[in-house]
Amino acid sequence: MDAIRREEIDYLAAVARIRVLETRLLRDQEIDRMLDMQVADDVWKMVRELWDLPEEPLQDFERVLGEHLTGLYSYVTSFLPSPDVVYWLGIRNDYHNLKVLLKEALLHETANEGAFSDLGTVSVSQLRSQLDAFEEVRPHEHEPEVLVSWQERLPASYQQAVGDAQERYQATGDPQIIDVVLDRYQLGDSRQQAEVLGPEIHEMAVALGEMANLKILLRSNKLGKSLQFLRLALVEGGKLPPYRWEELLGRAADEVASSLGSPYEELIRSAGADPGRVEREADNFILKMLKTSRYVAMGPWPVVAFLWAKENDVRNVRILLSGKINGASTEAIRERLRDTYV
Amino acid sequence: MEIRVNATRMELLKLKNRVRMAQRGHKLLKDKRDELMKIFLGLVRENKEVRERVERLLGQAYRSFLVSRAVMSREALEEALMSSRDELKVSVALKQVMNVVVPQFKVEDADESSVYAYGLATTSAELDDALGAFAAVLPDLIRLAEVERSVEILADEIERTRRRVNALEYVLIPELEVAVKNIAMRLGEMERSNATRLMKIKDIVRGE
Repeated sequence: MDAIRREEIDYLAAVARIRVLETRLLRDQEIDRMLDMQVADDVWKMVRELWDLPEEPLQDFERVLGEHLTGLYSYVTSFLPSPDVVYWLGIRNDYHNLKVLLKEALLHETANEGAFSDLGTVSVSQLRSQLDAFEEVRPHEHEPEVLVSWQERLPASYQQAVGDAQERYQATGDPQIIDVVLDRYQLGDSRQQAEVLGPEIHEMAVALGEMANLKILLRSNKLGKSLQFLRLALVEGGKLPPYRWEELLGRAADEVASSLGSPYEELIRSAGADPGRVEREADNFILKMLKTSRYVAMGPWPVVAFLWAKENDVRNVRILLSGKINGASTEAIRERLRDTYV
Repeated sequence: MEIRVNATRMELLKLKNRVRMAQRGHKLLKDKRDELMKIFLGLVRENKEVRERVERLLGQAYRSFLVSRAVMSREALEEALMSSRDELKVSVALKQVMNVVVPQFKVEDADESSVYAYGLATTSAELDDALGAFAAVLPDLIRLAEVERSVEILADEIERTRRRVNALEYVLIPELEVAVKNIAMRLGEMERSNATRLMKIKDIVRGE
């Protein structure tokens, strides 16, 4: 307990700076103003002014937003007492890059440059070289850790995930299995690593796993997926054991809602059982959890909440700009926007 | 161009046979053209229907894809669409329509679920809708390719047949008929001249 308290105090200055950065997160009024704008250029101009972005043309907005996010992550990391929370958030990006690299290797395809995330904890080139040496490294697993430098090896959880995905792909020849296995490992790994980062972050990691399970179940029902697929895709370690989710395969959304109870029932009912809307409600649910960080003065929780909220903002801007560029109606854009943090 | 032949009975018979043959060919080609036209118009109507349907469905699919593109980050979308679970096999056969060879495309055992070759935990449900819409439009798209190619081939054939019909109707048959008429006239003239000559000889013989 003492250790945690001391760590939380270490974050005191960082949280103060986070509070300043939070003032630049998007507010509902700003989102409404952007929604009312007729032209995408005006929305882009407003976003550039709000976030001090370089004057780049509208068609480059994806790149500019990506660079903005990468810059923000490195800035936040620079004033944190420990980069653990940023690393924790980067796990999903590492797994994403692993998925791309594994698909490249197993399917003999070359991924576009844009397929890789810059927000991982390990650079893509390092992951690539480690993955290339994966087969050579594995036979030495029994050797003491000191014999194989940690820099030359993938983290143990990544190794296990990659090995499992490779094995299952070779057995089935189904590329979907690569994503399914790595997604499951990613959510499990996130949950496990969150245990040392504090109860709130752990609770968030569990909720992310639960929301992923809800998404997987509803989409499996819609796409007519098998029980075998669901078993492989479901994330363990949540409040509901996997068999509870498995029981609901092939059931109507109403039945799923009433069987799962709170908070899933409200989520499903408010979204009208449409998986796309459930996804939006699930994102809002996580954002609601993050809002508790506003009453926390120290510790890593406000940092995680801010970075997550920033990514949420970037997604909202992307939805707004894509919608405006392609002439989508205001209502169509609004119903896809996620809630704001501030 | 005038047909130059010797004015003999043999040539007259040959020419008359050619006229009959040309008239029969003309009728057959005209029937072929009419039948091709009927099939062509049917295909054009179908082409219009299928094209309108494909354009409508593709519009919906692109709109749906646009939404998923907005909800998901670029890297997540690129990763999700890196692979497909199955190869789509399209068999190509040839079919004869009024002796014209047109293609026939057939999608073999298309499994619509094979387009969902990505994980469900980190992608958006909107992507399922978009890819489902693209998968649904595919059979129509392939039918459209078949119909449009058939229409092109039939249009070429109709044009060729029309030229042949016109050539027979306005050039060959009239020329053959003129040649037949000329030979008939020449033969008639020769006959009359012979008769006159014989009568003259008869008069000379009687006078002696």
